[in-house]
Amino acid sequence: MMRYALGACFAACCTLAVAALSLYCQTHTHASRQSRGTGYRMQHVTVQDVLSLIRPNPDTVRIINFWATTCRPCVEELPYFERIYRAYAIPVGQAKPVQVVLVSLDFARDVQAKVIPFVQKHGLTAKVVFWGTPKSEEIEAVDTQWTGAIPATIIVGTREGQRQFLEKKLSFEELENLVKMYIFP
Amino acid sequence: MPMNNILSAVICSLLWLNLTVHANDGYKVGDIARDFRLKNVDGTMISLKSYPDAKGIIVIFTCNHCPYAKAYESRIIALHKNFAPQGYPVVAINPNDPAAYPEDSFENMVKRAKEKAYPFAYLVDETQEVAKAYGATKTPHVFLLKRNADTYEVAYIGAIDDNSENAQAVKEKYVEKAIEGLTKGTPYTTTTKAVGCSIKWKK
Repeated sequence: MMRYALGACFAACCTLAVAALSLYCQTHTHASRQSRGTGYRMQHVTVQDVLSLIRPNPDTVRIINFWATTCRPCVEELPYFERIYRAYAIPVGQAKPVQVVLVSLDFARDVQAKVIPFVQKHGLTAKVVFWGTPKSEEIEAVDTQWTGAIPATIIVGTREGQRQFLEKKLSFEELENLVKMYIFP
Repeated sequence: MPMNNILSAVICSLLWLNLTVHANDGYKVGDIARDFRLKNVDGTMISLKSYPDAKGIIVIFTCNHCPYAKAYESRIIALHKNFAPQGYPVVAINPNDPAAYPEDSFENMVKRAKEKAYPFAYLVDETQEVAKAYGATKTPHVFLLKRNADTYEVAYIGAIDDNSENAQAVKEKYVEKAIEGLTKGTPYTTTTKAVGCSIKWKK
């Protein structure tokens, strides 16, 4: 009986180790492929895509951050979003998963020269999309509180009306507290 | 006891009022803009009263470091060259904390103004009081003021035009349209938005 239990334990450990190794390899090879600069495709989005992202979704909490590589406070807070994504993408217990979308507002001419290299250099695993410079009415449509200053962040919960807009640089603690408020519906 | 209730009701409404006032910080179109006295890159002090012949003032919160401000620099110079002779000079104000961006220091403002031969006043808002009073949040951020005898009324708030990235691809010249609106009485959009660098407030 004892031997059987030990055997099962050993098998479980092996399975875990193999799973961990394959996960490591996946992320590792993925990162190195990106760092060679091949095969990275930046998804371009329109105002319609952004508007659908900020609609409450019953299955996911979404954090949408508007940033640019040329905006220093944006670049400074970007690691917090990456950290949140890595910590909360896979939910624990009753919590809802967190999706992070980093919306680049860089100039179109900088996508190849600045945005893609930036994403690769920092090994961002959170989703990065390119919007470019939104027009006046598009900024207004995203949120009437948004004056156009960046960084700006929207957190969208799972229920209708659960949404918060913040036009400032966030600290990791502020961001994590918001996430904790939203992941338990 | 009823006295206490009344008192708490008064306190509550005062607190609420305070919160609402705070939430609406800054000017809206139609408000009377306050005057200021700020140091120009040439060392003189400039206020709205420094322009006795002006019909209006194009106040632009801008700075040295911001890529959006840089993208608009030559368009701001052109605005002044076109509209100062018509009575609408540009007054540029840098509200950024130079501790956050040394590039935005007064010395660097002087340098930049010389290099690019700024034809307009480029003022430093050292205490950031003017930016706060106006409700500027980013650079560049335009407040077009219309003169009514002794006061200046906010006539337009927002962007210079609809394309920061490419001056050649501009479709709507918001500030020009607004000045045309003031001089000819034609309709114009009074508030627009554009992406800009958040103002670096002092800590």
